[in-house]
Amino acid sequence: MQFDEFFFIDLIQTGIDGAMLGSVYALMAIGFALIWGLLGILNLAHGQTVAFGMFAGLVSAGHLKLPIPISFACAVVTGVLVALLVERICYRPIRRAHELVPMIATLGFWITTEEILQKIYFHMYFKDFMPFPNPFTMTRFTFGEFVIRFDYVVTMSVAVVLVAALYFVIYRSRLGMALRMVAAGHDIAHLMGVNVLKTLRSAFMIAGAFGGAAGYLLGYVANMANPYAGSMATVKGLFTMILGGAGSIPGAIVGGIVLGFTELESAYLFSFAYRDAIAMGLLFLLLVFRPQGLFGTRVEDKI
Amino acid sequence: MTDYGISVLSLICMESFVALSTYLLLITGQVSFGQQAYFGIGAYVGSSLTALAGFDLTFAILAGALVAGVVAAGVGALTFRLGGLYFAIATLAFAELIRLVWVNINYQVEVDGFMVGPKGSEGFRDIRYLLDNDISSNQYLWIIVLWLALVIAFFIVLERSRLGLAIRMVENDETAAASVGISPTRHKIMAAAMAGAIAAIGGVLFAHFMTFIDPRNFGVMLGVHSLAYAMIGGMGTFIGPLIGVGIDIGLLESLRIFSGYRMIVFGSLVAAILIFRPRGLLDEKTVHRISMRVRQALGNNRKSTRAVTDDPG
Repeated sequence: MQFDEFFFIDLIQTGIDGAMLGSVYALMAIGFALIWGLLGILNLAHGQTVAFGMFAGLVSAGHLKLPIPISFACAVVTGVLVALLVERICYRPIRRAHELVPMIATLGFWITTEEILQKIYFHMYFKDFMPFPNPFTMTRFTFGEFVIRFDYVVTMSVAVVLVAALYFVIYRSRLGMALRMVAAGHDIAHLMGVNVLKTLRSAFMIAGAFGGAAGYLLGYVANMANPYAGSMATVKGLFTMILGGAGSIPGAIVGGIVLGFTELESAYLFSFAYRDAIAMGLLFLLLVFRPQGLFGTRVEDKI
Repeated sequence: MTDYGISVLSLICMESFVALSTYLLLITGQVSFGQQAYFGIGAYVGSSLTALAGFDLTFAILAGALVAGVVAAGVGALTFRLGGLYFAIATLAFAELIRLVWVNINYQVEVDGFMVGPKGSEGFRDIRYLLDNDISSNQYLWIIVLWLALVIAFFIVLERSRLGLAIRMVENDETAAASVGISPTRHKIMAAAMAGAIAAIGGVLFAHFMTFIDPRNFGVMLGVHSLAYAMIGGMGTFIGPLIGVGIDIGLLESLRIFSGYRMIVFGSLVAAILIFRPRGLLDEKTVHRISMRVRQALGNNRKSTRAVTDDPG
């Protein structure tokens, strides 16, 4: 490798691409952070909202040839429905048990739905890796030496809009006030007249919407849909959340960008084969030496 | 026994090692998503020793267990401070790291005119130890059962020993344990090392049973499943995880109605069982009740026999 000007141009180019990929990771992590921050349980089924969102996008955009905004909406709605199912099955009946119990129940949900989705893919397409429709694959902008893919720009803008909407809901609406109160303590919120269960259901719905959106965008950016996206989303989403600091939404956003950046830079600087290994190793070391994440949060701003 | 029966039984036994390994960490109060890492280390180290270097299977198992135990102790020493979620994620990160090592490892050696050795994501093919040594699948099942029996014997001793009590105490209350002189750190690292070694024994056996392994065998789902086995079987005794494995592979695989839909049924079963029995089928209370019942029955028998012998008439 030569350290000439092209090296630095490519280094910066990779960094830009990494940050844009990271915005999808951030969307996945927000769902985990929301549920962890509000409930203190690990929702392992959250990855499935991503997988089903991706599948809904594949069917609506690929099969039914719906326009992109409508198929995106389909993905979001699917994510919300999956999240509602998770809440109904894995959280509500056992919310009084030990915190591990809902987690293992979501784990059961994860195993079950991944297999169901795999069956559906095989049934519909006879294979499990499908090209995801992306009309902008070859569209790019050039800024001087740098090239920016149009689909990355779309992804990033959608992510920015969604995050802005989330912040608006949390800090400027009645529901957001209820959410912040529930994050501070379920009993207190209950005493103050907040319907805790209803608020938590909304939290699951918001998380599901983010999962579905992330699923669509993930398929869109990678140009590929598969039934295993849920497992991948769970692993990467959890790592992103931990990277930023468990339960923190700004942490999830920054964590996503850092993870995307690290992955692509290590692929560029070392080798593509070790891209995930390096990211994983760094995460392990970070957990060991700074378990509160890059931005350790205080208890009062859990959400 | 049919070949199918033998292979199902072998699978049950080999999965049991990972389930028991996860269980051992659960009873120290640590939820691990990453025991598949040590299963993989055992598989790769063990099959390298037999296929590349021509060592004996027993030696390979012991060496695999030793390597995995040392690695697990190292990971344990780094992560024992992390509680709950953080420990779970750290073990998951480590397991994924190890899996990616398998994806990238390329080390092939010529043995008898064949290139043998791990070859990246294509995996490690031609682990011909069983074929070369004329071990039938029936005999191999007995070898697996023997090793499982050894591990189970270890658990029986553990549950009756001071060490087992200390481990359970660390789970319940670390501060209380520390206050009576039981070091939570030492016990956690020790449990991690033992759990790693147990998973590795299963890994070596698995690799030789399959004759080829590839990195996909050691993904997240294996760890997730073994956690589910331990949780639905129950945390009260080591029989719990064995029941969990038995339910999943044994019951659902042998009931052919579910063939192909095993995971779907199993996943729903996990959720359903946990709704009704949060600490699994055989939880501490049930185990206690059963053992009291058994002790009572035994006690009554002894009394009645004594009554008979004491009777002079």
